[in-house]
Amino acid sequence: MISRISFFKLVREEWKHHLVSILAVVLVFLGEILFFYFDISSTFMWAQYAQREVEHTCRLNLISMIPSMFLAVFLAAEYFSYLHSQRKTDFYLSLPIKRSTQFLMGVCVSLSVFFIPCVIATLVEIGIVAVTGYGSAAVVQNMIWMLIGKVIAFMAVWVMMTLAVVATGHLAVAVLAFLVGCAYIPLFIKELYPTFAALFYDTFQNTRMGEAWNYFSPISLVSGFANAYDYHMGEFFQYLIVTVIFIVVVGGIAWKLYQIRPAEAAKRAMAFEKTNSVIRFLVVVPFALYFGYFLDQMAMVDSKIWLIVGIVVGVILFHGIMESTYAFDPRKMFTKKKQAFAAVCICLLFLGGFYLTKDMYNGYLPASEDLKSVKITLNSTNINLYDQYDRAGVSGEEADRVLELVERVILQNNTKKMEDFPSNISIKYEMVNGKEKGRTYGIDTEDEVNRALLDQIVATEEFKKHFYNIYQISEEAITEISLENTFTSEKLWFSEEEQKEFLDIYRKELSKLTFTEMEEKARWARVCIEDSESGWIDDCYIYENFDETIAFLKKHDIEVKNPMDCCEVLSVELFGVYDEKGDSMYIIQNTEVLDSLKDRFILDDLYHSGYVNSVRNSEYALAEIKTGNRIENKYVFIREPEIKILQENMD
Amino acid sequence: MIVIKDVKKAFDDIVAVNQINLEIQERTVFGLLGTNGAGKSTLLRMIAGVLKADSGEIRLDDKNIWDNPETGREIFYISDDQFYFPNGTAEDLVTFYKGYYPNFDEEKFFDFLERFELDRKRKIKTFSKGMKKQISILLGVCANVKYLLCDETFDGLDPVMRQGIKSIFANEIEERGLTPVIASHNLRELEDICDCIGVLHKGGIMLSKDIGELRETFLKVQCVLPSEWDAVLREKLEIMKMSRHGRLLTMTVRGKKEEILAVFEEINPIYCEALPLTLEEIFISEMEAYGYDIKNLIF
Repeated sequence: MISRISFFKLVREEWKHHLVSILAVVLVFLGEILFFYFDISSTFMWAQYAQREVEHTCRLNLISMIPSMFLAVFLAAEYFSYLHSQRKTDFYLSLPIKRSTQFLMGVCVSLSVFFIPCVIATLVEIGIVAVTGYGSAAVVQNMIWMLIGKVIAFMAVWVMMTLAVVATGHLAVAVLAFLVGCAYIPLFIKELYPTFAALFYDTFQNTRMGEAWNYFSPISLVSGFANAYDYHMGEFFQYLIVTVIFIVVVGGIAWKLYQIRPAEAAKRAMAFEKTNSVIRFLVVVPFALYFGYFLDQMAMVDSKIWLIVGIVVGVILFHGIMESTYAFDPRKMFTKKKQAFAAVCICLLFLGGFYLTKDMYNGYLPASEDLKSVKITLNSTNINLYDQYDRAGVSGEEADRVLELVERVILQNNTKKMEDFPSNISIKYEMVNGKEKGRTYGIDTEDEVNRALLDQIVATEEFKKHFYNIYQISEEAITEISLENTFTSEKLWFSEEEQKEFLDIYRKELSKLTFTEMEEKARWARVCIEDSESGWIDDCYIYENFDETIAFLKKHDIEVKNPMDCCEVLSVELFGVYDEKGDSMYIIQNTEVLDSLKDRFILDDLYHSGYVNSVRNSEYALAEIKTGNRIENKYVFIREPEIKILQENMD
Repeated sequence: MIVIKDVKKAFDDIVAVNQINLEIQERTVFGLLGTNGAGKSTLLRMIAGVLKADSGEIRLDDKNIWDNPETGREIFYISDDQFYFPNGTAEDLVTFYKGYYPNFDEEKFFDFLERFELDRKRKIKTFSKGMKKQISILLGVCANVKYLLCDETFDGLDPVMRQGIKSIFANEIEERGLTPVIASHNLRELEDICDCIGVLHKGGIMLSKDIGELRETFLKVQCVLPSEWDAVLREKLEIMKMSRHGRLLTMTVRGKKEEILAVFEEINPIYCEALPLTLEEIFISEMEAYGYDIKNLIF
């Protein structure tokens, strides 16, 4: 119908009528160039790191893409806003071109208005770096990726906003639809099941990372590939491909809807009114559920009455808001009561599903033969903190022992609430069929049988392998090993053989460390291992009972001892300790006593990570300590025998 | 030729156009007459391809307009509230429309602007309502399309401009077969400019006729005759309306002038005169024949 040449002529002609968009884009990119220059200039302060910092500044990152995303929202709204005005709709839709061509013009105009200044800005930024003398292939490569990232981010957001504009008849509703559309799946729907499962299932553990949920929003997709660029190129490309697919699919839907969009939809809330009921259900049901959840959490009562009240009120509220918005008339708040009632029923069915299955969920114990391995986490420690390596979990006899423990724990959990237990244990079952199931139980670690089983499970190499990277790292890749405590850090200058010997001894002792020892023995130093790639640090410690490791280090003139040994304790303030009369003890300043006990005090600093975060049978205290000329306050754990002595010597 | 067949269009529960059947012949100025809300704009927007009919079809030169967007090249639509680019001038509009209407006659347009004393470099938004309408019509004419759809475009134009536009239409119809379709709620705005008129009411077409034909079909006769002749006249003539004041009889008769006057010659009344009918009177008579009191509908 219209030749290619005339199509581009029309696109050029359209530019003249979107000068506001062009101006906005130019201003944004001018600002970006200015901020880029400031960023680059600030890196010169550290001359030795300047090249690295410049390259880092040029790397693709989410912050740099945010202006592109805002521009995408603005440009899509600005270009297609004519659909929201009958006057403009009549003008544009009466022009003798196909609607599909008209939509493509929108794509070309918006993309070109964005793309040309974006490329120019990128070239200017490369120029700035070149002029400063820090230009390199890596800089150019990073800038090209940044450009690609910005264009893809722009298009992803643009198609979403365009879809919102096409599907609605009013700009305010379009913006609302865009926001809901972006957040709906990766935020509301993704969290719906875990939120209510956690509410109903005492043992619920969210085992699904739910990456796929992020694929349904341009914001989470862009954030996904921007974040992945820094640490995982495979994931980066995966996100990039999904984003491109998202652009094609959502753009295709917008393109199709544009063609069938009724022109009379201008100034209405929604363009396709037949879908209003479906959209309302999709919005009202989860929002009402969350509203109920919110009331339930606010009420802080065992009964679920506030949850139900919240859901009913939420349905009335959100149903009313939707209907009022659809009609632009607040008097429509209470219309379509049957549909509101149906929404309440759907919400209650959703809750009923959880209620009826909670015993089955909480009591789940897999058959040993269905189990491939079990991963255990104590007290919600994040075992994925340094997740460069696959975690195999424990299997075979170890897994059976875990099942034995879980069976006991399930029975105990039936009579007590999770919060009544001092600790919790998270189990992730990896099944033979490839599925994963997770549960978190409250665990009575003071129960002798439980503790004995835990000790057996924990004091194995298989369990420790599951938790510590030190078992998996290639020794050739290690670039540095150092020991740290609160006051010192010492690099271990070992030969390859010595390093291997050290690691073998350390791993042997670490493998034998029981759960009880983990809880009761003092940590004297943290073992920091860095590799050539990521420079990671594992959370592994030298405990006071690691005699062989300590002896090996001593042989190499490295003394490992309680760091408290090297300082003077001026006072100790005990928390939660009462004397026989019930009075609380406060401060002990008897330096003679404190000096005699200080090597039994355990610094809290070394308990900020790892399986246990406090010392068993100890009290928390604030110690005023002096190291050299410096006086500072440090939190320490003081165990029962020392507490007794302190009590006897209280001021 | 534009053929509208069983076209229906509803907005929610409101039926704007209901089962309309209409033919718009080429080389005529077609007037679409109707009260506010009669469905004129909706019908024009459907012909322009802006709105899709719920049922029925609109064909332009035997092609369904909705399914064949290329037919739009033969149509130029001017809405009742035409959009102009905020800072656009007449020159800018020419550049814009040239892209969409390759046959746009730029030279002719600027020539018209001079004739109508419209400044081509002045921002459209600074023009008066009437001047904007003139520009729209001139753009439509110079787009060199076959059909020019004007929604209430002539309402409010001064008589000089109307005459100017009328002569342009006459030339364009003669030279290249332009067919203007003009919607209005005012019969008087249309009667001097249209060749054919279709009357829309409550979404339906009540009447569609050639004005010349209508004028030839009706005759107003005043004569002096005793009342006993009334029955004879009713028998011999198709009388649409008859009123008597004493012996003076006034009637509107459907039929050819010669045949009607021949009847009166036979009767040979004391006084007899054939008077011209205004378009308004013709419509009143015609619509009353359909059982409508058109005065309540149009005027």
